[in-house]
Amino acid sequence: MGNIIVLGIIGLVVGLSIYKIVKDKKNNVKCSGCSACPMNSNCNTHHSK
Amino acid sequence: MKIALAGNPNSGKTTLFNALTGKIEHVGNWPGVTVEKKEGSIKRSLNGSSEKMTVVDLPGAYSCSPYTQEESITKDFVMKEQPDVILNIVDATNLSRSLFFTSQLLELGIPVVVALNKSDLNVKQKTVIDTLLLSEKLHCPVVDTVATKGGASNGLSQLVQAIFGAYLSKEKQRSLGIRNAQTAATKEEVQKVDEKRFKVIASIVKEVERRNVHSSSQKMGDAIDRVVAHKWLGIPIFVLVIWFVFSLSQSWLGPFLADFFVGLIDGLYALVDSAMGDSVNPVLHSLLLDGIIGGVGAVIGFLPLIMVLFFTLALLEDVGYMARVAVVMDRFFKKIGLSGKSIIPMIVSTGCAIPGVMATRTIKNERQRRTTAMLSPFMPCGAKLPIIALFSGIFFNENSWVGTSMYMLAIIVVIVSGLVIRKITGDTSQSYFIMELPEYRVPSVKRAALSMLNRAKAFIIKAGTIILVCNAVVQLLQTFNWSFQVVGESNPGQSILASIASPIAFLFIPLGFGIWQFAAAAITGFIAKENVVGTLAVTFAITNFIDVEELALVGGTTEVMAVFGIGSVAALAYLVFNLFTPPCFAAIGAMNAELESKKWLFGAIGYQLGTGYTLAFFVYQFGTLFTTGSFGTAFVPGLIAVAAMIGFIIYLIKRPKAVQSVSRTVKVGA
Amino acid sequence: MTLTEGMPNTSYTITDIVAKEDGMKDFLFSLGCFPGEDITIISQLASNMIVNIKDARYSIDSELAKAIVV
Repeated sequence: MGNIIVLGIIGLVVGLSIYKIVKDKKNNVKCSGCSACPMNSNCNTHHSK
Repeated sequence: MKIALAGNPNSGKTTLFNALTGKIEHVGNWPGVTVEKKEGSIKRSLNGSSEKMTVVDLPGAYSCSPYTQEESITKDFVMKEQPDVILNIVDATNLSRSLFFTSQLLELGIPVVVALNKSDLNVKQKTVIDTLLLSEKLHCPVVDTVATKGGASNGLSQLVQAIFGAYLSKEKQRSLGIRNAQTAATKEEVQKVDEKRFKVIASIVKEVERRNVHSSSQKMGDAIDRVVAHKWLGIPIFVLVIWFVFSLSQSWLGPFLADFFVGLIDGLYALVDSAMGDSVNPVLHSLLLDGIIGGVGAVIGFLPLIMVLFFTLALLEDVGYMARVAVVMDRFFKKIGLSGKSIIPMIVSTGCAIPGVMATRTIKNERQRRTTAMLSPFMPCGAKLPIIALFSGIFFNENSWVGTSMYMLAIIVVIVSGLVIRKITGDTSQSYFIMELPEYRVPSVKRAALSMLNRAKAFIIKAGTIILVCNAVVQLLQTFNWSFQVVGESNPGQSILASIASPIAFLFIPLGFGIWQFAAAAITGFIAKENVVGTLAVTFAITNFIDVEELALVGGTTEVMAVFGIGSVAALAYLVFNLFTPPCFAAIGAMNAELESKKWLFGAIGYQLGTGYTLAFFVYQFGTLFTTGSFGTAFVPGLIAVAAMIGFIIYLIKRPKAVQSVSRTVKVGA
Repeated sequence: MTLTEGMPNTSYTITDIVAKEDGMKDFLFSLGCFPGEDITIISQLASNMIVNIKDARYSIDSELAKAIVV
């Protein structure tokens, strides 16, 4: 029983992380690469050159 | 309804943009921080109508005749996208220059609204501007604003009303009648028209502005400049400032906050541990506890240190000091064929290399631009900070000189590399350097705090996404061997991770850290530099890097050192290696975009790898020589590798350069 | 003479700009730095010079200062 709960928690946490990564990728939030990027939270402005 | 925000560099455009839209874009008190256009909607509290008002923040420009790429973005946007209203930000302290651009904008036929920004500075200098008369002269609304101020008196709601009025009137903007559309086709004619433009503006300024202090007289700021940008004093002052920043974040305030913070993480760790009990499968148990919570916790633990660092850096930028650093550095950069302009991307890179590399767009000369884009990632970015903090904390007793010297080493590496690249390309062109020096101002704690919180948020998001997934993968890879059997704790060298990392670790033997855990951490570091700390935590099964007392009750941090199995010299070499190898993939992507050449890109990556390896080699071998009297392990093979790399660079330098344009696309790495 | 020979704390009237680099002349122009306008030397710092053009401070290097004839 404990195993299933722990597996569930791990699955949930990792799943959410991957969901966020994929979502950011889809929204073209390029700058999530570096944590300190000042443009991080609003990268909707990244147009190709 | 689309509003274009246009104005001179450093006129406060981005600040106004943030104030209008409620966004938090990066603001610095120096020209050239914004390099791409940004969009946002005007806040509900300011926009009383049902119409959606979109503001586009453009990079600063002095005129419509493009000189650098960033200025042509402005021109292209205004010309092609046909905004409904142009909001022109005019620096109230410098009317006579700012209105030059205004007069050109007035000729586009699109309604213009002028925001007379920084009007609070005028009050201080006892300069009075007759806003009504100016509005009449320019045939457009003029609103006094103080974008840095909150509350009702900053003029923003009046500004939004004026914009709305200009939009509803649907009238074609009247120009100042300086130029007719058809005349001024040749360059000489444009020149004539522009001279007339300045004359007309001078006469307007004379009528509307009354100054008590003439701008050309010596001010307090000039006296400060003479000290902080002094020929000899400038550098020591800069070193001291950086030392102070690192001390505050890594020795004084940072660890104090971190202790409390790490306590919370430890609490969570213990809570989960006890909740799971003994009944849970050991693989799952350690995946959740050591892999996910431990790995992410080790990285997150450095958050307070990073926040303190970014807060102080934001204050420094806000004061206007960083523009002076560019002046001090210009002399050295000139010697390597770059100019002080290259220092802006480098200082931006101390936050993150991605915007730093993007900021190289303001450099006109192609070789200078590419060289700067290639060298900016050498600066220690925020993600490298946990690595610095970890190693200086464990091996050097939290000495802030470690961080400071890494910073200075980065500058030296940049200067030497710049020279090397110039020699390889054979391009000797020089550029003029001109940069506007913003006036000093009292830094805003609120602005710095916002910038810090913004970056902290990004750090947490990243720790919870990419770092978390990486740590989970690392934990799984080190739990199983290739036949998917669990390797015992006594035998981690049999794991998949160890077998992947060991061949690479072999290459690191001459650098003093030929241990597979370090190799694995260096590899995951390419995904994100924070991973270095996370992977070390997972592979060595240490969860708390900051509050190391628990690990070593006696003798300080020796126990962590014993776990790592390397001495302080090798630790310094590892630190240097991670700081000077290629940056994370995202920054490499940014380099790819700005370098615009695959040869340059691969040259840059090769050069960065070579630099990291060579520096780490010298640090380890000579450090060992000084501390023990003999060279470290595998000196000769390492020396051969390093000599081969240096030899290749010398070959590239000595090689005859046939044509300038050919040599420009040469591979520059080993 | 060129601006490099100028004295700090003194105002000069620009007579010519002889910039080698393409576009620099136009750029200086947009700052209000062209023949007939005033330029004031605020101070000399290392190889750079702080000048006042219109109502703003700029740091220019000696190469550029040489290009400004006063």
